Amino acid sequence: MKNLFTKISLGFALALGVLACHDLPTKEPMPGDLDHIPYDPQPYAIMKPSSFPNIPVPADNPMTLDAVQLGRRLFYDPLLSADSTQSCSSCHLPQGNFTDNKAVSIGIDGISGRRSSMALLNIAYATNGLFWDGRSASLEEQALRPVEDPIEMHNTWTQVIEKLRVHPTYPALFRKAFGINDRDQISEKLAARAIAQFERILISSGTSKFDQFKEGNIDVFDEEELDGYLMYFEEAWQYGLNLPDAQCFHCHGGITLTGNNYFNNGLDSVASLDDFKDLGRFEVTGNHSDKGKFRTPTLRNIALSGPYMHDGRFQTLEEVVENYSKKGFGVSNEDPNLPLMGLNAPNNTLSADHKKSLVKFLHTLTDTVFIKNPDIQNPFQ
Amino acid sequence: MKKLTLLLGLFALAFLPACKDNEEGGPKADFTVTFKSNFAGEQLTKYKSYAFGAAGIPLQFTRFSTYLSDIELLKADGSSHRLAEIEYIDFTPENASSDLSATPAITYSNVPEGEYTGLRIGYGVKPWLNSKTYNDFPIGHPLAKEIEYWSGWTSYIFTKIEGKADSDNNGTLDVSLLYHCGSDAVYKVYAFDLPIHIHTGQPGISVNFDLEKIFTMDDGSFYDIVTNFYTSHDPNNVVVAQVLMHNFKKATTVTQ
Repeated sequence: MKNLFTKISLGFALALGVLACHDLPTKEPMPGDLDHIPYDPQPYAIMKPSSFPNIPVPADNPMTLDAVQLGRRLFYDPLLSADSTQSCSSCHLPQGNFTDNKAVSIGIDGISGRRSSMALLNIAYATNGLFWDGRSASLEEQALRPVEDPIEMHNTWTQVIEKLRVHPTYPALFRKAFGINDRDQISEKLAARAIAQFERILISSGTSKFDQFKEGNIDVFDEEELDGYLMYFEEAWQYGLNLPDAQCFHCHGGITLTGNNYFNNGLDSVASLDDFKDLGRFEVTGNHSDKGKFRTPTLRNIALSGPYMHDGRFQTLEEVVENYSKKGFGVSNEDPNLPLMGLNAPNNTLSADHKKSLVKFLHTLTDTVFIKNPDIQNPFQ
Repeated sequence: MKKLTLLLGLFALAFLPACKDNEEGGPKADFTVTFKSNFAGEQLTKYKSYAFGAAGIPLQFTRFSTYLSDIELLKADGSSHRLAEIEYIDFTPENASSDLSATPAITYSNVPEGEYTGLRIGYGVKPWLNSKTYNDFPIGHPLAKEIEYWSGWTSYIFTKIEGKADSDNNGTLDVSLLYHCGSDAVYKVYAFDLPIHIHTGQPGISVNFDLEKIFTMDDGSFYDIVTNFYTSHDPNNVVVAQVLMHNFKKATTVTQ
C-alpha cells in the first residue's frame, strides 16, 4: 500500500512537473518565470522585388524571426476577440488579398461595419496613414484598434493580455520575440508590435504578369493587356500608338500602384460636401475639403480584392472602370484627374474596347505566388 | 622634379576654390529657410477661387509640390555655401487641418556666419540625382518617394501643380489643370541677388513662389491655361513644362 501511495505521489509530482514545463496556466505573478527560455533574436530580412522601394521599418520595432512568427500567430488567433470567434484574418484572408471579399465586414456581434476591409498587400509602404481615412499613423498603432472596436472584436486589451499571460504557448513566444523576463510583461504594445511585424512581410512576390512585363518580358502581355497598360500609365507614345489617357497612375502610381494619398474619386453626387454619407478623411483632419476623400488602395491583386471602394459598392472591375469613365459629378473636391479620364479618345471618352483593355490589364496584376506563400498562411491549419 | 612640383602646384590651385567651400572656418549659425506659396501675393489656399488673367477666369488649386536642388548661398568672391542638395517642398500636405497652404521651414545647421550676396536654387531634380530612382535612397530621403517618380520618363516629377478652372466664368469648374513637369530638359537653375546676413539670432529667409506668376509670360500676358491645361505625357514634348519651369524665376522672391 505504501508502495502504491509512493508511486501515485511520484506520478502526481511528475505530472505537475511536466505541466509546469509547459507553462501551466496561472494568474499568479511569477517574476523571472521566462528567464530559462533562450532569447536569441535573429534579424528577419523582408523579401521584396528588386524594383520595389526600400521597406520602412521603425527603429523601435526591428524585424526578427521570432517576432514575425508571434505576429503571424496573433494575426490568425481568434483569442483576440471577446468571444474567441474572430481574428484579424477573419477580415483579412490571404486568398482575398488579405480582404474578406465582403462589401463591409461583420463583427462578432453580427453588426456590420461601415467600410470594406482594406487589402494588406504591401501595407508596409503605407506610411501616410492606415485605414480608409488614415486614422492610424503606423502598423503598430493600427494593430491596437480592432480588438477594442465594438463593431469588430468588441474586446478589451486588458482581457486579451490576461488570456495571453495564462496561455500555455504565448508567454514563451513573447519571451523569444521580445526578451521579456516574465509573463506579466506581455502587453498590448508588444502584441501590436508583433502583429505589425507580420503585416510588414506581406510584400508582393514580383511574379505577376505586370512584373514580368516591367522586367522586360514584353511578350507576356497580349494586345489588349498592353493597350490597358499603356492607357493606365499613359505611355502609348513609347510605342507610337494613339491611345487615350486613363489617368489611373496619378493616384495608383509607382511600382506598388498606390501613392497612399487621399482623394474624392467621384463616387457620389452631393449638393454639398456635408452630404457625404461617409465623411472619410475629414474624420481625421477636420478639414472641410477632406470630406468624402479616402485613401487609395494598391491595385496589385485587385482582381482578388473585390468588392471595391470603401463601401464595397462595386462587385466587379468592369463596374469600377465604368464608373471612372463617367468622370465624377463635378463635386467641388473631386480630383482634377477624374474629368481627364479618356483624354485624347474620340470625344475624350473611353470606348468599350478601351475599358475592356483596362480591365484585362488590371488582371495582370494578380500575384498568386504571394497569396499562396506558406510563410503568411494560417499557422493553426 | 620641377615639372612634378609645378604639376602639383597647378593641381592644388585648380581645386582651391572647391576646397574653400569645405574649409569654411569661423563662427557658425543655424539658418532657417521658410518656403511659402502665394497667388497674386496672397497665401495660397486650396479650393479657393482666384481670378486669373485678363478675363478674371475663376481658378482653384488642389496640389502644389516641388523639388529643389542645390540650394546655395552665394558670396561676393564667387564661392558658395550649399544649404541642401535636394529638398521636397509640399505646400499642400494631406494631413493638413485646413486648406491654407503649408509654409515648410527648414533649419540648416553650421552655416558660416557672414554676409552673402544671394541665393541660387535648382528647380527640379538635378540631372545626376534624376538619373537615380527612389530605390537608390534611404527611407525618409526626399528622393525615396516612389509616387514622385515617373518610370515612363525615367524622371522624378519636378513639380506638381493641379487644380481646376471655370473657363467661361459660368460657375462650373470645367477645366482640369494638371501640370506635372519633369525630365532633365526642363531642369533650371536661377540665382537671386540680395544681401543675406547670417549671424546667430538673425532671422532666416523666405522663399516665396507665386503661382499667378508661374502662369504669366515674360511680356506680361497670361498663359492660356484653357488650351494648355496639362503637361504632355510624352517626354519628347515638354513645351508646356518648359514654359512653367521658365516662369518659376519670376514667380520666386527671396526676402530676409
